[in-house]
Amino acid sequence: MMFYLFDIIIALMTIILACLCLFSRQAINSITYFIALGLIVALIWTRLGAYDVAIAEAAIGSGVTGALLLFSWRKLRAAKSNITLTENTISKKVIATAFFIVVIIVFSLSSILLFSKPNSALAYLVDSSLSDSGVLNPVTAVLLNFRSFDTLLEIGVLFLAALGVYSIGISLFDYELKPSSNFLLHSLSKLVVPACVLFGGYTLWVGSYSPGGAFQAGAVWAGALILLRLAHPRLLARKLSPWLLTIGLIVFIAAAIATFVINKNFLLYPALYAGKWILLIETAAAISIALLLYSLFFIPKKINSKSAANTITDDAGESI
Amino acid sequence: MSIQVIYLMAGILLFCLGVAALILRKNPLIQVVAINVMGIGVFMWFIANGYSIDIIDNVPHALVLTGIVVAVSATAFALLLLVRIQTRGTTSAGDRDDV
Amino acid sequence: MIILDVLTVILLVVGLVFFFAGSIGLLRFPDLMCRVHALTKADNIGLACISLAVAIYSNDWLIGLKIIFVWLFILATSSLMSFIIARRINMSNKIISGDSR
Repeated sequence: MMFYLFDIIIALMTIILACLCLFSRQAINSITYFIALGLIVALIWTRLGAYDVAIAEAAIGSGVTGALLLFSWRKLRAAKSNITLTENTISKKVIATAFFIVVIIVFSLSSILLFSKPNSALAYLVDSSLSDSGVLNPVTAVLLNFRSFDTLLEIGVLFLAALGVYSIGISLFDYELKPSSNFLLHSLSKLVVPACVLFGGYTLWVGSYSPGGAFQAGAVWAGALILLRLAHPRLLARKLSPWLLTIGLIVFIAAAIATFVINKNFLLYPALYAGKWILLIETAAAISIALLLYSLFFIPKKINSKSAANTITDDAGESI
Repeated sequence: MSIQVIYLMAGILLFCLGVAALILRKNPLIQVVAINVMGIGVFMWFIANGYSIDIIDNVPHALVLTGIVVAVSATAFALLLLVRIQTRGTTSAGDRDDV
Repeated sequence: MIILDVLTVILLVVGLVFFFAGSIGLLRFPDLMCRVHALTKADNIGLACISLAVAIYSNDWLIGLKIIFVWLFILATSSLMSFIIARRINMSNKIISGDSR
């Protein structure tokens, strides 16, 4: 039992953090606990040997989601009216929830106790085909070679979300800081943005043989872009080129059509050059992912709109 | 009781807590957080299923990576819808882009 | 070697103590400024101890060098972030107390 002490402590910490997150009074407490929960869960992924997932969870699951939640909390706090949801009586809800939870726990515990031997047939399959896939990192091989359709559709889903955000028409962050207060963000961006660009490029390249890959690189680049936009608002205030936004999808679909022409099968890469095809698709995908994650936050305003040149006061009327 | 079982149970508990919070809490922002916690529970179940002492299965890692990106896309869209509904499209600073 | 392992454990425990002290400060200090101050200082030193422990434990000078760079980077960014937070607190204190400067 002592051998598992670390795991028991971390798992308990996760459960307690989740309870604090979900059942706290104020929304800002929930969001802060959620960001901490994301980082503890990244530690759990490292413990379970899922290094790519750990980087992605820390960058996307805790970083991007946390920033989205914080920005929307700020906007909702300034909203004048709140929608009140329909009220069921509290006892009916509690009974329904308790029943649902009991059912889930009974089913899951029984499945754990009856079928607790891990099914690792897929692991051996992946291991044996790894040399044919063109890369040395099994997760990249699965993502971009064995199950590449899932990745194509995943980039499509991200693109759809960005389209939805564009069509809603408001952006989560639409004011600028006064230039006199901006020097701190200037310094922070001078330090962080080059390091993030370098680290993203490194993660993209090294994803072929080490934990890393296109999604982690895209997330780190997106963080750098968001910081750049916060520190230098006029630098990125123009509309993003739609070609850059969609280049991941375009390259992926072009690769699918090209492999269909060459090999009579979609996304079946030519045997000797599979690694290079994967790198090309990953680079385009990383650029696309970075710009799509950035565009979830910022909608470009019209170039000649009045608000582009003000020093804007913040929502509560205080000047920043 | 191996390491795998500890994290399997933790994943199920996280999912149940997320469901309970989704039903019981009224604040829509906390409901979005609850959906994300449900997602984290499911991912923990996936990755704990792929863990064993001898060999670690990498296919659940790829599926969870896809799941994280899809979850963040859905969360972003849900939050934008929520902000748009509750602020009626007006922002208190700057222009309103007429849609 | 045994001396390196003992040094690693000592550095880990010292770093843990610093992080613990910072967290207690976060929970128990009365004012927002005090909390930011305690948290930043204690966390920076705690991170220094823990990264030194990991760098020593890894037995590879290249990994140790990378970890030292990570520590320096986090030092710079967390100090800048705490400056930004403290400046914002200062400004909202001035607004609350009516100081218009």
